[in-house]
Amino acid sequence: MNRDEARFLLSGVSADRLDGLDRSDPQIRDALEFVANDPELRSWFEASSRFDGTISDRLAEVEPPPGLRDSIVAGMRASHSPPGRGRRMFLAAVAAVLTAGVILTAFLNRGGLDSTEGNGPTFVEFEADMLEAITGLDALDHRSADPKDILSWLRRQGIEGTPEFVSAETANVDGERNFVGCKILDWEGYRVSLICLRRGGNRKGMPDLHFLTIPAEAIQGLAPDELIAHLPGRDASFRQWSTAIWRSDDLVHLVVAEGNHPDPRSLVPFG
Amino acid sequence: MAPKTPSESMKLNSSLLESLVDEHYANLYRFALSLARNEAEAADLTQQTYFQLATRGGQIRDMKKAKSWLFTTLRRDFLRLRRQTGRFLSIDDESAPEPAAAEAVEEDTLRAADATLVMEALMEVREVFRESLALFYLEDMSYREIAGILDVPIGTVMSRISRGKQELRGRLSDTMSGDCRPGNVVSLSRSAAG
Repeated sequence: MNRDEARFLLSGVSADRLDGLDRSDPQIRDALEFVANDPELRSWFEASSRFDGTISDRLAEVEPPPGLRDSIVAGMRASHSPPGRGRRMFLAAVAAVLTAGVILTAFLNRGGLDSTEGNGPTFVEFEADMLEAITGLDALDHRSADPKDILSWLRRQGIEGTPEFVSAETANVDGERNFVGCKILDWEGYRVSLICLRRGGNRKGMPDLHFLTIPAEAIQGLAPDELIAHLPGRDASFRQWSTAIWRSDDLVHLVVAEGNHPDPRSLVPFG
Repeated sequence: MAPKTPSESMKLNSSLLESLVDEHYANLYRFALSLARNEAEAADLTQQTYFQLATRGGQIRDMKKAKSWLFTTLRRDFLRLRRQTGRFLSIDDESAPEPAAAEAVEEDTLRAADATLVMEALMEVREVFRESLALFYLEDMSYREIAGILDVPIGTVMSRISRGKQELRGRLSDTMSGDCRPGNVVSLSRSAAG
């Protein structure tokens, strides 16, 4: 270990507040030993720790707005409900019922609301967020009419597991569409690939078919090969959308199609 | 011990929730402020995080992990909020051009800085470094804890803190002009909101 390495390892460590987690790390221990035997490095470490202490002290003086604490407590009392019934999930369910009227599968009674074991978001939240992202979509990261080029671009961006079912065939499953391009979204710390297609004479030229793929570990409550499909619901702009979500191996796929599709997954060509 | 009635259980939970508010809300707010750079948004994020604790907190089996849960949830909500406002995350934020190098702030000068000025300097650090720095400074979190919240490897956290500190020193130096010297402390009345 040299000085630069020791400095790097100790950049997030302060002499006066070294906690057990970092102290038990052998690399940190070695770096601290190095510091103890190197006067120049010791001087740097002491100065660095003083800097950290001053910054921490100053930041601790930033006062939250008056009344925030009481407002939080009052809000929690009002909203306290049994676990697993988060507001977004509730709103997503209500919105789906109000706008669509019918939910094709009885997932809320089965896997939906009961599937919140652990600390992760569910497919209901994923679907709601993705629908919101799609309807507010302003730009794509990569524009291309060639599905091979799109998949290749996604792989170059390090997207693990791209939807292999996306091919030239995909564009012709339900009338003639063209690939428009793709985008990488960030959801709950996971990267989501979004591939967009549109019909030739589509209203305003907006994409009307979207394929989204995310690692399955990001989402709770969706068993392998389980398919959840929704009849059309309307977004805030009264565009009608149909969705289907399913898990295949280590990936979760979501199809979002504009219009009334009783079986949106049929828009994806298989085998 | 006799089993608790539902009302006793709820009372206990409410009391626990309140203690979690008292323990963490101020630093959660400061973390939110460092991310959002806006007081109103930071307050909303903090409130929303506790709302989720009240509704989904039953999922936390080990209360020792409540702090990490709160900070993770707040960060997720911040990212979600940005998506909803059409500001998607830049995938390559870390590789964004570095700000022009500035001379690191001197120790004596730094001691003269007030909370607003330090928070403003932190808020100017690039986000990819800022969130690690904020967790380090606000909560004295270890590399491992920060890595867990940000869902990145420990080495990445080390690198982000190291580079973030350099940037913070430069920002502080920029922010603290020559007028701000020991014995000639400038009194700032600006709000912390950016």
